[in-house]
Amino acid sequence: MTLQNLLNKLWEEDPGYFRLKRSSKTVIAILIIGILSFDAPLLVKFFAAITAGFSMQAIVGETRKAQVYFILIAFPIYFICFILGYLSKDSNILSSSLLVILGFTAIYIKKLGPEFNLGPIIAWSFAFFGIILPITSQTQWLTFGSLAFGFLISALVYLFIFPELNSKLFYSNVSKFFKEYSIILQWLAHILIHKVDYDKFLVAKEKSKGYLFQLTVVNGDITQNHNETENLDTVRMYQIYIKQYALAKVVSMIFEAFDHLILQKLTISEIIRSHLFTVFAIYATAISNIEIRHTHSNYQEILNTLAIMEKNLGDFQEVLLSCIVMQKQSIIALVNLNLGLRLIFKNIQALEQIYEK
Amino acid sequence: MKNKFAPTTIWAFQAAIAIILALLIGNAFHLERPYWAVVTSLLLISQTWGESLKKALERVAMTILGGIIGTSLYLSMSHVPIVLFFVLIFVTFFMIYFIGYSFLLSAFFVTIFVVFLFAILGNWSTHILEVRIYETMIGAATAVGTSIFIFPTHSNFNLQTSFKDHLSQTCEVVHLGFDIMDNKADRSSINQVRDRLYNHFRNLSNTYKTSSYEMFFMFIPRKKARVLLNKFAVLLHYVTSFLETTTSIYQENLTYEIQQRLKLIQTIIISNLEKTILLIENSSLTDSLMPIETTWTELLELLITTLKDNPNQQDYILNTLSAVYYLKKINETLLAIETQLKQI
Repeated sequence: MTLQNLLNKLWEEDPGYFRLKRSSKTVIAILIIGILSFDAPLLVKFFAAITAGFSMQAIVGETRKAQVYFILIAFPIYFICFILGYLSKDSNILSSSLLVILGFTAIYIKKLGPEFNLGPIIAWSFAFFGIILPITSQTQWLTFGSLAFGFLISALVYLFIFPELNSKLFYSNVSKFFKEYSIILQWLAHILIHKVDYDKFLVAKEKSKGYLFQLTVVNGDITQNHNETENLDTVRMYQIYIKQYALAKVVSMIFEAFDHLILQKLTISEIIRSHLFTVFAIYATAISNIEIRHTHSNYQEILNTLAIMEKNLGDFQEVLLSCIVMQKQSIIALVNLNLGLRLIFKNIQALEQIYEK
Repeated sequence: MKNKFAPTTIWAFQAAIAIILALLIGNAFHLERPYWAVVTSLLLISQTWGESLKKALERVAMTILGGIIGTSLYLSMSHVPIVLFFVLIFVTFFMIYFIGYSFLLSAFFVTIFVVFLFAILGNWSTHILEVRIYETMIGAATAVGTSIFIFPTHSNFNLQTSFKDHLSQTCEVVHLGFDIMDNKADRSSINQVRDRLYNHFRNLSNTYKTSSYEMFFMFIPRKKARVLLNKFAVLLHYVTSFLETTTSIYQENLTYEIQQRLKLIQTIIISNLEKTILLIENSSLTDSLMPIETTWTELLELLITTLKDNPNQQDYILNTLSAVYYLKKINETLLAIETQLKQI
């Protein structure tokens, strides 16, 4: 298995490599702590590593600034929870009450949003560590220092190693999406002029469709997390996601029409076939040229290509209309192909308007 | 009986009670390491008791399996401390990798992690493994017990409601499609509506996943619920595709005959959707769903004839042909759902 295959496999399991990045960063933080505290007592290594490992899991924030804010607010809260746990450990009533109250709060505030999902449980865990871990008055300052050391390494590693900047991931997914889209359209053009094995078609279409939807779902999740902070960027990302979703859906419609044509062994006239081939091939080229970035798109450059797309679509529609009544058997598949092609055009055109605004 | 509190409030109460129970049991029976029961009870408490039970079974099974594998690994390499450290790092990686993705796998790696963490601190034995297993069982029992007896929320009940709700939403979306064609609704609203339906289906799938563990309150057996869910996914595809086609159709441009048949198809499909909702409530209903084949074939013929005779209306006719195709598919899927529901 090549590295690329492995990465592809990992992507299938974890689109966006969110989990891979998080677990790699945690291990890196622990290793850094191990190296920096090589000569320190085991207690220091232990507390710092546990602190880094736990505290890193709950960090959220779409921008680096938001992540820094989260760290500045959440880490001191974890620290306070640990101290509260430590101070209450000698009283059964106090420590039990602390665990119950924090347990209630940790679940209760989940309703405030996704950023409150894991953080409160981590805070509870720190109180719990403060209660159960064997800290004495002689080692307490060393323990607190180890905690601070763990928090520091956790924050630095989180922010600077494999940074989780979701808007960057979003635009990279959009690029991947259009690349795959173009490949699918090229492949469909190929199918129109060559004989195709239906089983192979089935496997290939499911794979492509799955990949497109995966990229769309990841972007959907990213835009959902963005909802809290509405600004031009987040609105734009949401609009792009909507178009991405609509385009993925159109592929399903087109596949269904092809399914119908291939499975029922329906014949379509040569003139319609050749026009369809041209439209798919031109769409594939146009879409492979689309570049959408954070602040701009190269849409201006492909406006001309879009004009060609529109002209070809018009030509195809004209031919379709002149022959369709003779194609009674395949009429539904053909009108659905026509609809799909028009929806692709419409959605790509709408992308330009997003940047014009 | 419906709970008066919000789901998160109930969940928080359950978590607090589960922790109290675990603490009380720990004190009453002088457990050796009561904290394992406390942590387990908090981590396993979930929004529905089906989910709590699922997590509890997975956690206990993986504690036993992970504990045995971890202990065997540790005993075979305990003389090389550096290897212990690297195994710990390796396990940490996978433990975090699976958090939030697979509870089963993360529970497995958490247990191996605990074995090696204790081992590095110089304190792991088969006795501690036994303690870990039975205290995890106590924590799991308190979580499941609390979920079942304190303000229980049944996901199976939710599943039935979710299927019904989803159909109601689907019904609204189909209505909207027809209203758009009739110029009675805003054409730009489809994105929002489609997203809502899509999200609702995602919640329905999640409810299905957790309901299958509530074995005593079965509304639909697990396998049949799976088949039904797949049919709902197909329905979602056709309904959203239909919605997509409606944005470029203006009914007033179509002939009276076509409009009439479209109205008839609308009435049949809406009525079929409403009957399916009733069927979910009571599967013994005998009123069958209606097919649309005859009207559909007439409509198709009419559309093709209009296509021949009116070249200037061709655009609308092509769009309508697509819409009509998806309407036929919607009805076919509803008929398949009806058959499935009547078998339950």
